[in-house]
Amino acid sequence: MATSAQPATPPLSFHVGVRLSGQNPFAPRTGTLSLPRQDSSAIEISTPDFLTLTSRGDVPHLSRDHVKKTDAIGWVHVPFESFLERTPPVPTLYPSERPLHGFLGFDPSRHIVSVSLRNWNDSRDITPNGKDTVSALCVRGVRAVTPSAYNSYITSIRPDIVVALSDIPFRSTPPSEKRLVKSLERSLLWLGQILRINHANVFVPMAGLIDDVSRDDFATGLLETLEGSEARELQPLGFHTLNDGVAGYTVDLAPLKRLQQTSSPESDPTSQLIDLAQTSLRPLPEGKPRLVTGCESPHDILQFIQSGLDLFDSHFAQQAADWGVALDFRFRAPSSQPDAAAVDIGVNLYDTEHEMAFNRLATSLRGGAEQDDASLPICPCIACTPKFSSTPILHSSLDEAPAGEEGPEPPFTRGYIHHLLHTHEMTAHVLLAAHNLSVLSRFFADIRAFLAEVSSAPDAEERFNAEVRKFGEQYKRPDELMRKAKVNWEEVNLARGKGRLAREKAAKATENPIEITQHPERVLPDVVP
Amino acid sequence: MQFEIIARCPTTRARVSRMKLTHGSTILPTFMPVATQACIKGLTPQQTEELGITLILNNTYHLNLRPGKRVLDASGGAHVFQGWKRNMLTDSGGFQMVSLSSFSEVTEEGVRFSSPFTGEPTMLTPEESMRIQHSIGADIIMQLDDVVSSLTTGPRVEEAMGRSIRWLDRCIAVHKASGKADQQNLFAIVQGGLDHNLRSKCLDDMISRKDDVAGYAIGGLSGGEEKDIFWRIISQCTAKLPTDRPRYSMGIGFAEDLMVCMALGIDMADCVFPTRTARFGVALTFDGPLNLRLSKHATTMDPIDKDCPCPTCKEGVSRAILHHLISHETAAAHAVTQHNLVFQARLMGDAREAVLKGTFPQFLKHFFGRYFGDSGYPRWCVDALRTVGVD
Repeated sequence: MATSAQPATPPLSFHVGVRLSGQNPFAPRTGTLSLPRQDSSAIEISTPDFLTLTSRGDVPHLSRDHVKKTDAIGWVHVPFESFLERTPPVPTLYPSERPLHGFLGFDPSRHIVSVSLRNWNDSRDITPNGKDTVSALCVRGVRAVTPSAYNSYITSIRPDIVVALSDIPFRSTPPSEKRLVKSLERSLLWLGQILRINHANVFVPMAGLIDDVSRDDFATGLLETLEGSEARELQPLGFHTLNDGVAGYTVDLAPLKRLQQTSSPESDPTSQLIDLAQTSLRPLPEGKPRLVTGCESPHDILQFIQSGLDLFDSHFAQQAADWGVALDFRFRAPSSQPDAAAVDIGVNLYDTEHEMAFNRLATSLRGGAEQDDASLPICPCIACTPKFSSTPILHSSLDEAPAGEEGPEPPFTRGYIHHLLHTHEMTAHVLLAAHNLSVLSRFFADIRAFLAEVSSAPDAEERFNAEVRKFGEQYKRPDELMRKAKVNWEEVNLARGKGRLAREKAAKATENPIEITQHPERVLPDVVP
Repeated sequence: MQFEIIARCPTTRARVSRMKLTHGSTILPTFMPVATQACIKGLTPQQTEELGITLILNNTYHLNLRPGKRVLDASGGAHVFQGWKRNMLTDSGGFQMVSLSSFSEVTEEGVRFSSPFTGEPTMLTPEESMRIQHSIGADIIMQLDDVVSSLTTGPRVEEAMGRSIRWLDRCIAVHKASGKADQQNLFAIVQGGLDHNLRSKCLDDMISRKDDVAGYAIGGLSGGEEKDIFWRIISQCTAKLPTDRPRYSMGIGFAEDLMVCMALGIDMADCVFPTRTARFGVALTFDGPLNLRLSKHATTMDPIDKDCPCPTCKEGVSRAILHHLISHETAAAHAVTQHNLVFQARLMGDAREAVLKGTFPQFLKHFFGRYFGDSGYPRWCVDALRTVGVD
């Protein structure tokens, strides 16, 4: 398919800043990802950093006015599959230079928007992919999406970054060698097909699951000189290998973690995941951004940064907000007494200890209105630094605007959010979603600052490693914290959520809010651009 | 409270007034959104205030269950607890007697509830209701009244009316002795069901307590009674109630109801309707309600209302994306909630402006014409408005 009449998406550029070691290709590093805009401005993302995940196109719990007020939200990622409910998918119809930005309300001057077909943290079994199709999930059931359909959607919606289609055999046991080989072939083929449209910056998911040889084969496959029809189509675009056309690499942890659970249990699952990631990245040039998705703790994030990864998703922070956990951690970990027990990375606000707690959410960050603890940085989120507007809507001539610009209000308290959680009020999750993203943003900012600060020192890597170790000693991994919070959430949801009256009457078990009905597969037609 | 009438409609009984309370001024008539459990569902206080809302309703029954008086006292009241700096009204818990009546038992002493969540017995007396409302700290507090369903007939209605007067006296006594009378303003609630005689008796008795009461609510309606009798009761009450006290019709929120009540002389109303229907995907507009879940909105890129100043419409949030998100994502519920509350506020604001300009009757005709379009005006609205000079 030839380039469309509309101007192509400007290519992003990525420059490595500092590396903590000259020899190690996977040394911790900083970087700048720059995406030019038509009006000669550019969005810059400094790495390490994270992208914010969306659900059905919105940032969970946050209406657009709140997205605007949350500086932590920069790069936003959209799984496209929910839009397959309708043909053509509705975002393709939005009349704008940047239809996906416009339809979802993401300001192009503030937000990079990337798209993948699937939610990369959803590793449930669905209908297997075919030779020529990827199975995707929407509310109406499974859809079989062809590469040409996907490419035509991308052409229409013009995201800044697109993740290439990937054949991931979802199973709890490793796939056969034959199946794995097929997945590499298909993924490379589909990558070539999307590069042909020369439309957006393409990130490629590193295939091969938990098989080292396959992962290496896939990476090598990206570097093979193109031949035949692929060469004919891609060389005019300046690509002699598939890798030439690739703007970045992604490593999705969800399907790998699923396989880890059933294969021989690793004493250190994160190390194994890092090894797999590095196996894929080792043959490839260092100068492209490396995204890892599905980290479930700041501990894992730090380990991946130690291992040369640049970008992460907001998954665990958002999940914490869903389950009533306010994040409260910093890098570098604040010094504590030598024998002090490790603390959690956040608080489960369901706990009864918070019923009469009138302190703010994070002890390690203060509210904008608070004068004590002046040495602590401010958490600028709507929960810790709420600000009333000086220009409310005035509905009649007698209505009055407030006299002047007022300062920020005291932070919302743990006791209030505890109350909101136990009364099943959505406002709890609104405040927690914004807060947790802000804590995550501050975490990455502090990491970048530290990397820059120590980069010139001869023992830079050791110093970073020491801080990572200290972080792991001061803060417990969040598995238990999140597990308990989720249980609390489910209890309240059962008692007060949708259908509770019916449940109370019939003593039914938990309800499944979204049912996946197995409709006959429908292969979707191309969208005419 | 300072209550000042600024303008009167020469034709109808509508008036525009300013009510100055401890937490600022509220221009009346106004619609009060309901923040049952110490928040407007899905919104923050900052978002609520941005919509131009200066008075919200919190519910004593629910706040007493959670977070409870102890937490509220320790916080310094609901304003501090929930971060709302403007005006607040609490209802007494009386309405829950009707809505949760399979769990309650009324005696002269008070009302015994079984908590629907824990089964624990709770006793709500007029004195206790006052004490909880003092802890909550709302600018306007309601007497505990003996509420019966508007569909109830027989001696129970008269019993409830008489008891409500006695409970009013008990509330007044506790309130006066509390030392909070200068910060918190007690409203009486007129009962008497759908019986004009009972209502008349109740009005006489409660009006005689005018000096101890800052305003009057009309309760015991919005229970599914015929609209034709509903407006007649409202009209009877507003005709008799003193003009120098705000009048509050409880549980009213439909646009046409608000307009008729305003024409009959009502100053305040509350209802869960606009916020609840928002969560179900129904957006309120001057051309009637829009059910965003219908597939006809699936590809409409226009906002709910191009002229609406709410954050949702001003940002250009399309009907199509709301259709996609509603009932799946909470953010869509928040977006439609913001819109619906602005609709309610715009309706009341435009109506106030019309009274100020002396064009309220024309405004009513224009509103009804646009809102009901081809389906025709409800008969009861026509009848009611005719009695105040609008045809």
